[in-house]
Amino acid sequence: MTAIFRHPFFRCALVGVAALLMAMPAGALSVVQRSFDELVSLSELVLVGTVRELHSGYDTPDRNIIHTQVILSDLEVVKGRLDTAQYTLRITGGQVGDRIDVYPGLPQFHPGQRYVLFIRGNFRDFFPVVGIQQGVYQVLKDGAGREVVLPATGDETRPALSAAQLLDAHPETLAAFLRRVRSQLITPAVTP
Amino acid sequence: MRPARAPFYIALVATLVPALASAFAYTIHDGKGKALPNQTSGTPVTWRENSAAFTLNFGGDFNTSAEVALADWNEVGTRFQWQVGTAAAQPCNSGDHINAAGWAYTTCAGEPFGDVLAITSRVYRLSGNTLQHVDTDIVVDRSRTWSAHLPGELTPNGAGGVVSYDFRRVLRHEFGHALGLDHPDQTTPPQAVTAIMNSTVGDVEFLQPDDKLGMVTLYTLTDTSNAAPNSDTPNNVSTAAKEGGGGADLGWGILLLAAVTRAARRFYLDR
Repeated sequence: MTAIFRHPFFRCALVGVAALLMAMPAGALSVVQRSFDELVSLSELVLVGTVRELHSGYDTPDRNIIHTQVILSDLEVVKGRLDTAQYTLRITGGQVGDRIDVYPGLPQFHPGQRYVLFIRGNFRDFFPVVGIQQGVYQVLKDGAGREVVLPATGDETRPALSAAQLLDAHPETLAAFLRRVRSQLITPAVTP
Repeated sequence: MRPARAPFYIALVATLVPALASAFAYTIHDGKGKALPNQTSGTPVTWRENSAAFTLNFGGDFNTSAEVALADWNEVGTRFQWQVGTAAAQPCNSGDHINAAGWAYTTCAGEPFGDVLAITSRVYRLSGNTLQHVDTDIVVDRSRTWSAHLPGELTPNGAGGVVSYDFRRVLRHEFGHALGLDHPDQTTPPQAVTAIMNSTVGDVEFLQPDDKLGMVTLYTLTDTSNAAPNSDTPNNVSTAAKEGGGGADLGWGILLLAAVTRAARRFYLDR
């Protein structure tokens, strides 16, 4: 039986299997990768907020493009300044009547869900979040009732992970995450 | 079967299958008039036709590179084949029902691209109880530096960015979106798989087994019995991007699994 372990084929197979198992998500295209430092430094506004409503409509003269306004409330501003109790984030895409405009890769916002957002270029950019999906985090409650953060996905039908999935993900608490953001804000710029 | 053989096969398959499990994601119709992106099961929203044309407005080597990217998807060998379109069309007219791709300094709404390199839009129409994919356009950020094709790994510059973006691999990704595929790393929970359809820029240059399996799933399993007449012969087409393969290519992963299993079986039976 042990002969198989010495066989060249078996050794090659093992190497192949190991390579497959160790294959990391190399990523592909479309979006520039952003580090956590960049999320903080490039954003104009970092806030925690809960999605209250979504409104889609045409807001270009030729009615060629659908935008959706995401109304956020229960705000906690971490970077920047905001004097209103609500904040409107304008994103591209949505549904008006029988027409649906889909932009693959854009995060989906779910009413009632709380998010941490690294915002830049609102009402100006195609999707006004630094690094697109990289700058959107969901705030969830774990089994112990603590608020934790997870990178947002684009799946609006399952806005929350199960308790078991949350445990597996070992999420950072919201408080620790925001401490990390704030520590970036006070870190002096590196000079040569 | 010899007693020692069964555990070997079981171990082999158990070891290989998780690594080869599909992770591709796609947009589905929920049956209530909504499109739900980034799903791994459900009824995918796909092209009902067996082919669709893309008007390419990049020019020169970039058009050639885009044609290669279209052809790569055709070579997967499903029922659906991309064609190179000849109808004059610009990508920001989503109501013309002509698929077009081209450069732009802003998005179709005149907005800066932000951190996006290229954007694919998909327009669906709700017809009765079905969602129909009626138009797809692609715009690529002209303000960045592009190379028509950069084989191999992307070389970062001193700031950690990319000196020049590889147009061909970006177009491979965008044409995958145009087929109906989404990002496998944006499902709930996110999946870890090597795929050109992952969401951020990296060193994956070619279609990966998971990408191919995604197209096979969308276009081999979807019903075409209601496809429009003559949908195989769109009239604004110059040439097929490239002849597709004869059958569905299930990708290197499945081929590897088959090869390993075959070789292991031969090794054991020859002893």
